[in-house]
Amino acid sequence: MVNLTMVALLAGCGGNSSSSSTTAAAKSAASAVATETAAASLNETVAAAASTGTGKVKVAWICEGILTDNGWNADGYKEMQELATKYNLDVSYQENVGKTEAPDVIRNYASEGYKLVIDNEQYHCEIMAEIAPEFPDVTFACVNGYVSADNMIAITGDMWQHIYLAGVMAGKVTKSNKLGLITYSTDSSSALTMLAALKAGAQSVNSSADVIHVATGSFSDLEAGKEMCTSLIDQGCDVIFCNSGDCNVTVMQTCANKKVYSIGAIVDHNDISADYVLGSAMLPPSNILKIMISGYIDGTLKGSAKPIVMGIKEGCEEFRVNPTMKGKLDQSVFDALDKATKGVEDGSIKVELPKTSK
Amino acid sequence: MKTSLIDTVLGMAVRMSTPYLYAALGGLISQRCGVYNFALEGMMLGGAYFGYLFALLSGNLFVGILGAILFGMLSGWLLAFIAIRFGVSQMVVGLGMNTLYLGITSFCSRLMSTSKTDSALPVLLKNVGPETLQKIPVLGSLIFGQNSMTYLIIILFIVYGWFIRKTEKGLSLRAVGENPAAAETAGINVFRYRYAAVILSAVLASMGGAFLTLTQVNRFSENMSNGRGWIAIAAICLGRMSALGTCLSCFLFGFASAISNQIQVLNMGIPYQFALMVPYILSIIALLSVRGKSAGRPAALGKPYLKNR
Amino acid sequence: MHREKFKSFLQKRSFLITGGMAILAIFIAMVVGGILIFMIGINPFAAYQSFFRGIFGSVYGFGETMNKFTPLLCCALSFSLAQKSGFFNLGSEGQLYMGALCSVLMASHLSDMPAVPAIFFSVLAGIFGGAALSLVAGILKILFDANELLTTMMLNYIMTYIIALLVSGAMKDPQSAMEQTASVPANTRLPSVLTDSRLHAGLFIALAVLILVWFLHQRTVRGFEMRLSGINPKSAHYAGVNEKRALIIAIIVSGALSGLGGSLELLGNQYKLMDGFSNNFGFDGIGIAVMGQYNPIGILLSAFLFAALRIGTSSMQRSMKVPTPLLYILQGIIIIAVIVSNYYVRRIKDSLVEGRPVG
Repeated sequence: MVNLTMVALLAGCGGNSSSSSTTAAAKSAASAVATETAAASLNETVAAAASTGTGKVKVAWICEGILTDNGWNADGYKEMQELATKYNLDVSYQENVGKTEAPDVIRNYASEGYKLVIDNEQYHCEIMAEIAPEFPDVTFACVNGYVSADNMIAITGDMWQHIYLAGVMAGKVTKSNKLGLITYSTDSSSALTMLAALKAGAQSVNSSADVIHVATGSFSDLEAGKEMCTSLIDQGCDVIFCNSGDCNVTVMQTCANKKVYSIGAIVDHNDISADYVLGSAMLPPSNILKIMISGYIDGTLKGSAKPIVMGIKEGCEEFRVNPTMKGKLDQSVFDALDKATKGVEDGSIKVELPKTSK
Repeated sequence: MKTSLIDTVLGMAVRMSTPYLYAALGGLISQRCGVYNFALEGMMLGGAYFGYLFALLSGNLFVGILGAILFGMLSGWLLAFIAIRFGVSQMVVGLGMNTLYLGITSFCSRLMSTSKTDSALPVLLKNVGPETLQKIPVLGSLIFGQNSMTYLIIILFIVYGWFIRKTEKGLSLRAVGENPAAAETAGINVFRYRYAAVILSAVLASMGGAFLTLTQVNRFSENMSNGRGWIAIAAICLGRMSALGTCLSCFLFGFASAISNQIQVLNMGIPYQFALMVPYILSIIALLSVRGKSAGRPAALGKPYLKNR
Repeated sequence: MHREKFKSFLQKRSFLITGGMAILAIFIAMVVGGILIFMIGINPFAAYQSFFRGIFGSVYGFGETMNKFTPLLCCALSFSLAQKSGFFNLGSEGQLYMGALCSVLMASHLSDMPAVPAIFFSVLAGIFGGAALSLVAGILKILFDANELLTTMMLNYIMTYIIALLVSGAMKDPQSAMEQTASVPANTRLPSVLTDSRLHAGLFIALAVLILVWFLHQRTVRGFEMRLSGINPKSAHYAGVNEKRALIIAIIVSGALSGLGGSLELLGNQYKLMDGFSNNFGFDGIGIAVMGQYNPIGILLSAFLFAALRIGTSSMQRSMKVPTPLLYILQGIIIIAVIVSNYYVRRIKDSLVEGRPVG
């Protein structure tokens, strides 16, 4: 059982030496087997490709929710299409796969000759890890997954570094000392992690900053997102961070209309407003998918029971400041950001994350 | 201009009530003539999308509203045709249509450009209302600062209330819903009234959807109506099928949604699930508190009227 | 005289006409869908082949279809029974959740019990749960004349949020980061009844209940009272029936049936409760009941249709990459086509009876 907090701490505080040694250890432990299996998997891949007759590797990609959410799934989908062309893959997509349907869908793909089954939804990793042993010659992968299995690749952003930095910038910029955080639900482990990270970042530079955390309950109800954002602004928030599917873009536009700052989530949304978007806290699935697919194809990335954690330093996450802000904000903001970034990367900054299992 | 809390909550309540108002009036008119319109949800979604599409392509928001109306007319005609010509279960047809329109709008939406900035409407229908009157404290911006589509639906509600009770055509409509056979013998063309009512019902629901994309958010998202059509049906039920009751019920739901946001934003430690439950609990309480004779369901509601040919 | 013999053959087996027309309707809908599929560049024949393969092509697929069938059937029965007694129970979804919730609570405490009584009590808990929730709406109706259309619908939403709250808080599985309860112990799970598939015994329980309910409803005095009160409470009262009691019984049984559906789905298929446990089972159950015209055979076939649509379209997306929106369009067209076919069924039946030509 891998404790999420432990994983995060490993990545953040013990320094990358620790996390890379974890992966290194995992790799070296399997290295004796790795060389044969690497070769074997490459042969398998080629054989599988040959057997489909099209010469293409059969890959499956699953997501929860819709493809067109302008965020998590859309980014993953776009990336998969590009990777499919680049590596000559035959990709089958299935969307709207909830946690109750996921076991069936994963099993179906695994038993229908798909050699690589990728799930874009982090919370499916537990489900996938349970199913993986049933299909030892299939490679499973979960984007942002926090548990793994021997024939499964789980690569997770550490989930808090980029949001911590967002909090730093927000904390410096806010005048009302009220930050708004909008998520799909307020009690999921990722939402609680976001809250802790945002608060910690903001309070590290501004001890009176506070975060109001609200939930929309929907990924596609744009009007609800807009009204929730309006309520936060009326309550006095002057920086808002929204991570709730397609509502993100609408919330950011609403903020710009009302002359309030916002921060983008998941992908680069800095183009939404030149004046009111501070930056984007990015953890795009595309980064992880690139690593997964290229590693799978050339055989360097093997399944491992321990998930691989990558943060800002590894290039998996990023807090991208809006370039237009450079001239508009005080230099102290960027200095604080640089300092915090260094602290996060070298591990001197630790955040107390909520305790959740696995 | 700093607005008071009451102002903002009430203003939000009115904004959030407007889609319910459109769909509920549509459902009401349809039910009055004896046909259940359970496709309000799908029609709202269709109006949201096609209103948005027409506005985007033409660059004109009123053309967008026209697009929504067009979709309403087509889908209303389809529902009327199936319900009246075939006399089959209106509920199942409505449910089937909801799925169908969800598919159509999602499908069309994906065919278009996927860039979020390309696909945004440049401007939204603004709120109208005399500026000076809006400055009246507390109620000023509430009464005079609303969106034109909101004023429109309130006017339509008033017109409907008068129409259905005081005009001959209105009484004929009710007769069609109560006893179509008798109405027919009295010389009322039952089919024509039903077609007209159902088409109008669909047009209204579609306009409710267009309100979302043309005045509130400038984009379309798949399934963005998120159950508003069903809330509208609940509002008709709560309002016991009277115009005033339905209108007030819609405001109750809108108000409850605004309160729900407020509860969350005040950060009082209440789990968000309770906040989201507020509209539904409030409506049950409202139902229990308002007792008395209902306007009554039309006796022939849901029963197909098949003329012998 | 062949024509006369054929006509009287059909008259006695009217379900053949209904079924036949429904199949024709589905076929026509699929042709229309096939044209759309073709227009986006996918081979429609391969797509439909994948559709049927998903449902019938493997034992596993068939098991999945029947697993979906079970809760759909229970919810359809629930709505149908209530409707016949004059109670519009739109609360199937919420009652299903309540049934699942009670089952999971009961089952988590029965890990030391032998399988049969453990399952029995867990299912029973689910039945009671669903009945209790339905009774809430019933009491509000009887005491306050509260329209059950509204109360049951609202209770659905409220129940959804209560479940969301519980599975992320008080009932959350401490071993998992997901918002779900712990899996029920192995001895409380319904056994699998078909090798190479995950088909569970819940199917037979549901079918047994279908027969039982039909029998009680159509062949006993109580059932007769329920139906009579449903048609006209006042004349039932005049005839000496306690129509309030009949209504209460109908409400309780209706809720119990939905609760049973939730219980079977939990103990047989999912083993744990989470947000999104029910994928519109209750809601679809209502459509199934109406489409099946409230009779057991009709409901059975419609429930199978709905279950097949779920599995088949999923298969189409997986193997043939048919996009989800197109699948929704297909489903919508099929549902509308099947319900419209009822009209032609009626025309045919009328013509058989009165000798008027079909035209």
